[in-house]
Parts: sequence; C-alpha cells; structure tokens
Amino acid sequence: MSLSWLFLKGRRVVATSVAVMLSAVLVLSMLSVSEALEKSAEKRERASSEDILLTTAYLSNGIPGGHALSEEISSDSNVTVATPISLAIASALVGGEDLPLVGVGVIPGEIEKFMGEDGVLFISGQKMEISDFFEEKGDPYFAGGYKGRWTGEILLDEVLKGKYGLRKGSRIELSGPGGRMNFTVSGFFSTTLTGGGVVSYYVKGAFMVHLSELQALSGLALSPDNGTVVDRCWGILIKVSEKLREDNEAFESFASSLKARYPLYKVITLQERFKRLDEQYNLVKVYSFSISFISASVGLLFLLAIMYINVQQKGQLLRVLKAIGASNRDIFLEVYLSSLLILFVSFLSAILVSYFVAGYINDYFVSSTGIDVSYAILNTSVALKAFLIFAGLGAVLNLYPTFKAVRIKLEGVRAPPERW
Amino acid sequence: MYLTGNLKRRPLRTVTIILTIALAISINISLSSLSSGLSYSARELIEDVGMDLIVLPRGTAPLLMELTTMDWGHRMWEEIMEIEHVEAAAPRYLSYLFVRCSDGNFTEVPVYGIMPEMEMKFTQFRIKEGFYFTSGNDSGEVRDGALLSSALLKKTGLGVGDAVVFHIPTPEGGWREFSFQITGEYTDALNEDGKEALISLTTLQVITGVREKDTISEILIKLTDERWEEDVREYLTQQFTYRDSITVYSEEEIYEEVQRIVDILDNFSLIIYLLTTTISLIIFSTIFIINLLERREELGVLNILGIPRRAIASGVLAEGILYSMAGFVLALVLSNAFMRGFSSIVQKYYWKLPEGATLFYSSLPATLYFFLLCIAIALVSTLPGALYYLKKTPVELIRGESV
Repeated sequence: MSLSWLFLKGRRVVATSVAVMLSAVLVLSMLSVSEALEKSAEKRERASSEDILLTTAYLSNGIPGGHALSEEISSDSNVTVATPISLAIASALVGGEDLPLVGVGVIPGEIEKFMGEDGVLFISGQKMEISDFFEEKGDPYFAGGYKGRWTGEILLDEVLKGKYGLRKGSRIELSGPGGRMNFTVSGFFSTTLTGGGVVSYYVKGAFMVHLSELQALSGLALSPDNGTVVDRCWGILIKVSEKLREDNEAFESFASSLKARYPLYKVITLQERFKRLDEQYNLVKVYSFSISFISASVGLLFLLAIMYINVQQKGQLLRVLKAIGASNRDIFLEVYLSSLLILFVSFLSAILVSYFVAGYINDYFVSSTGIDVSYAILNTSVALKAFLIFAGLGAVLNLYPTFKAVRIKLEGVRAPPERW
Repeated sequence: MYLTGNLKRRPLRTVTIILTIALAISINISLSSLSSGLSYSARELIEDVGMDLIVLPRGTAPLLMELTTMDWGHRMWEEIMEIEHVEAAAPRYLSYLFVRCSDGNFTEVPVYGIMPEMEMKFTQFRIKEGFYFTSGNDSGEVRDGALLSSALLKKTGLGVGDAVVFHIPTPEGGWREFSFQITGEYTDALNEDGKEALISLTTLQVITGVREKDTISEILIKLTDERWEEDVREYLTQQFTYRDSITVYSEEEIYEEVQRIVDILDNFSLIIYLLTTTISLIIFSTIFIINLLERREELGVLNILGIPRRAIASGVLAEGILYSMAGFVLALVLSNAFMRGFSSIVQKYYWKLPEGATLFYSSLPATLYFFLLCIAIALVSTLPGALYYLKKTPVELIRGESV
C-alpha cells in the first residue's frame, strides 16, 4: 500500500494541511481559553488557605462583632484556628497622585497560621505572596476598645514599591470614611495585580494592615451614630482540624451546624466554591465548544472536499490499481489513511502554533486586564479534547470520499476522468 | 445562466465553498455581535437610569460606586438642588440587610435608601404594582413603607400589602428586626433579576446607624437640558461646598468605563477574525483554482467562439462573487440561529437580561462590513484565476495539460 498518489498534487496538499491546521489552531485556542478560565480559578480555590469561609453575600463587611464571633468559633474543638478579616477601599496620596487601593485587614498572628511555609496566603482564592511580615502579631488597637496602641504597620503591594519608589520605613497616609491615618511601610507582598490594564483604573494596588486599623480607617470599628463598638468585618476564615478535614461526612455536618448557628451568614466550603465555579464556567464552555465545533467543521469539510476531488481526479489510477489486483480493503486503507495522515500532521503542527498563540493570548489578557492569572492553558487535556473533536469529525466525514473510491467502477477504466 | 450552471455542475465543491464562507463568517458575525451587544446593552441600560450626572465619593471609579460612601448627604443634596439647571437630584444610600426567604433561610439583599419624590424623576426603579411609599409612617410594628423587586417578592413569597421584616445583625451575635409594609413591586432597569428593596433614605440611615453623619453612596442628577452638563459639572468641582469629597461622572463617562472592558473582548476577537478569514481564503481559492483548471479547455473554446478574454475573466470574478453572496446569506441565517439559541440558553439557565439589553446586537454597518468581507474574500480568491485567463491565449488554454 502506498500513499504517494495522494501527494502528486503537492500544493493542494499543502493548502489543505494549512487550512486544517488553522482551524485546529482556532479550536485549540478557544479550548485553551476556556480551560484556563476554569482551571486557574479552580486551582486558586483549591489553594485557598481556609477550609470554610463564614461571610456575607456581598463585599459589605456585614458581620458585626467580628473579633468575638471569631473567638467563639475558635473555641470549637473541630476548629484549629478562626480569624476575622475585613476588606475596604481606601485612597493613598503617593507622589502627588490619589491612588485608590484595596485593603485587607488581618490579625497577623492568626492569619500567619493560614499561610504556607513559602509565605503564600490565599484568601478566598486570591493569592498574596508575603515577603515581609508585621512585627506586631496581635491587634492592640482593638484590644484597647479601638483606643489601644496604633501600630501603623502596613504591607504594600510590590506594584506600588516598583512604581512609586516606596521602601520599608516609608510613611504613607491613607484616607477612608473613618478619616485620614498614617502608616509606616513594614514590608511588601505580591498579588495578581500588575499595576496596568483595565483594573488599574479602579485600584492601583493592594495593602494589608491590622484588622482594627483598617476598621478604623473605613468606619467599620464604631457606630457613626453613637460611637459604640460594632467591629464589622467581611468574613471569618476557618481552618478545621486534620481529623475533620479527612472525614467528609463529619466535615459536612460541622458546616451545617455552622449554618444553623449563624443563619444570617453564608458558610462557604470548598465544595460549594467548585459548584459555583462550575455554574459560572459552564456558559464559557458551551460558547467555546460551539465555536470550536464550527471551526473544526470548516477545516474538515475542506479536507473532505479535497479528498473527494483527489479520488475523482485520480479515478483512473484507482481503477488501474483495482484492475491489477488491489482489493477494496487496500483502496479503503489507502484513501482513508491518506486523509487521516493529513489530519494528523495538520493537528500536530497546530499544537506547535497554538503554543505560541496561547502564549500571546495570555500576555494580551494579562496586560489588558492588569491581573496576572492564566488566560490560556495549552495542556494535554486541551490537546486531547481538540484531537477528539478533530479525529471524531474527521473520521466520520472522510468515510464519504473513501467509500466513493472503494465503489469506483472498474468498467470505467477506459473512460475520461469523471467530473463531479 | 452560465454562472448559475457552473454552481450546479459540481454540487459538493459548491456546497463546500459556500459552507466554508458561511461558517467562517457566521463565527465572525456572532463574535462581533457579542461585543456590540454588550456595548449596546451598556448604553441602553445607562440611558435607562435617566440621569445626566452622578456624584460619587472622591476617587471612586464608576463601576465601584457601591463600595464607597460619603457623608453629609442631605446637605449636599440641598445645595445641588439649588444649582441652576438642576431639575432633580436623587441621593441614595446602599446597605445590605437580611430577609427571610420562603424556604426559611435568610438571604442578604441590597437595600437602597431613597427619597421617593426625587426617585420618581428617574427611571431606574420601575413600579410594576402599587406605589412609592411616603416616609415617616411609623405606626407601631410596621415602621415604614418599602418597595420590593419582583425577584425578591418571589424569593420571599410576599406580596404587595404584606409586611417584610429586615434583619440587621448586632455585635452581640443576635439581630434586630425592622418591619416595613410593602407598598409596591418594582424592577431595576440595571438588574431585572436583582433581589433588592427600596426604603426611605433617612430610615435606612437610622437603622444602619449612619444617620448622624448622614452617609450616602451617590447622588443622581437630572438637568433641565443636557447642554448645561458642563456648567453644572464645573460648579460641582469648583464651587460646591463638598467639592473635595466628591467625584462627578457623566452618563457618557460611565459608558466609556464599560466600553474599556468590552474593548478587551473586541481585540481578542481580532485573532479569531484573522484565523477564520485566512481559512476561508485558502479554501475558497484552492477549490476555485481546481475548478478553473478543470474548465481551462472549455474557457479556451468559449474564447475561440468569440467571447472576449476580458468577459471570460469577468465571468470568473462574478462566479466567485456569486459563491460569496450565497455564503453570506447562509452566514446570516446560521449566525442568527446560533445567537438566538445561545441567548435563550443564557436567559433560561443563567440570568435574565434586563429589558432593553441584548446579548448579541447586529448593526447595519457591521452587517455591511461582513458583506464587504465576503466580496473581498471572493475577489482575492478568484483574481489569480481571472488574471490567468487574461494572460493565456485560447490555444495555450486548449493545449494545456488536462488536470
């Protein structure tokens, strides 16, 4: 058996291979974007430092009495550590610019227990890589009923360090609904923010301070009306004991008991996050699969047409082959394998091209959004999915020209080439 | 007749060329319609609010307007109302309260504190049933009136005329309850599916403990005429007593913020446009050249019979354009079917788009652009063939090796 007859029309084969390759590139690109969106979010969620997050539905700092609630949860024998955190937007005047920053308020000694050995902290899927840490591990300002010692320690986003020349020991003034407050830079951490892209129109960077100091800055410490302590926070991070983590049933039961104890708040476990992610990314998957399927159809339809033209134009050759003893099986294999060979070679080249396309897509999205996460992943799973689409569709579509070749009539050996 | 006859002669090739163009162009149309749909919907929704300017806390980007607050809201409002050319100003305070759903669980919902008489001049909140409440109706258990969105009414199983109880957690671990009589049902033009509520601004400030500082989130401004926009903005940023605590945005600036995000999708789509257009070009030109080479002798004979070479070349181009037109029409049909199907999946399983919003939007200029793209693909694919026939003599064509 020889496939050489197919390659008598070299330019045609090249054009076909390029078209099939480009449609495969399109399929691989769409699938790699959908894979990246889902998998990188899943990876971040999986890396989350907390086992359970007790929070409100919105970024509303809607949990009052955060310190007390956290202590109450910590006292449960199933809990290793629980700590309250707050989120807020504050602005800093740096280098004559009014910079909107997103802030996280933590109790250092407690949040440390959620950090990995490499200083990486994932809060609700958001990565923070901390290189320097607070000297004061407690929350002394809160301990004194929001009149205690003001540490003024602040950790800043690396982006701010690079862009505004801030160093350890630099003074920075932040303003929020609670007023203007002074801080001293005690270290830096890196986040997924790059300092550019569309996000930089909203926040220029991030900072981390002691919980009570953020609460004071953002008006979450005391009631504005009567000055009583409200101690509002966004959520309580909970780390459960090893024993509980390994026992799914007991873990679910503990999560349910938390729901019953705190009916106003959401008790979010890793499983629930995955379920939510699935719901969010199903739509992206449907859309990218539709586009992939259409583009694969375009390339493979062309392959079908070219194979058909080849069969018709080389009809005489096939008849001669049959006349000198080639079986239908031989003809079938020759035509079918030729088309699959083009498909396979095109697909392999597409993987190589897609590697660069995926890299370009990734760089483009990182620079245009300003968030450094994966936007296109070309891995074995993506390649396999794309290959299944291609091989499945290609194998079915190319049966048509193959059967045409097998059924070619020997009687026509003297006839001129058939037109179709 | 000769042209259409050629289309019928080799049906599989004709179908392949037409389908290729149709599928490739339909991918482009649906992608372009998606970004147009997002832009169009953003503009429609922003216009639906009926404001000309919005006053936000200083340094707040338009799309983060719900995360920050400013104080002395009523005083700000009074001063704004005194500005010439201001027809109405609606201060709002957004907070999040808890309400019990029909299944017994609590849900946290956005509650806007509003001034009903001012809010009526804007069109974000649309009353479906009942009426706006009047403030200060404190009569025992039911403190005040409230409007609930249709989605929240459904979630809580309540109706107009019933009492709704909002819960606010306390630092001690319990909660306080506040009852309101539901005076009406509304939909939010920006979020038709939103589970939310409206109560009096002052009441919300009191129950959330921010009355003393008179905290608010935003003030919407409607002018007597759009042409005063710059004058009022200048006043607000230069003479307004609270100018250092605010940021002012126009309707157009908010739209531009949304457009910045849509542009990212638009630029990404360019990669796909480029790939699909190249694929169509390769497929169209390859099959077309094969067709022409096969008909070389036939076209040579036509030339000998007296049909000028220029006419033959024009016929070749016209044939290509005919293919592309058929492909374009099919692309319109396919892309519309895809967009309708995808939209209905989104609406059914994911979220209900607000009235006036659409996921896909096909404009006439965009359709014209894709029509011209089809013509361009046809011309680029057929031009080499047409030029080939212009250069060759009939004898050369007839003598040419049969393919």
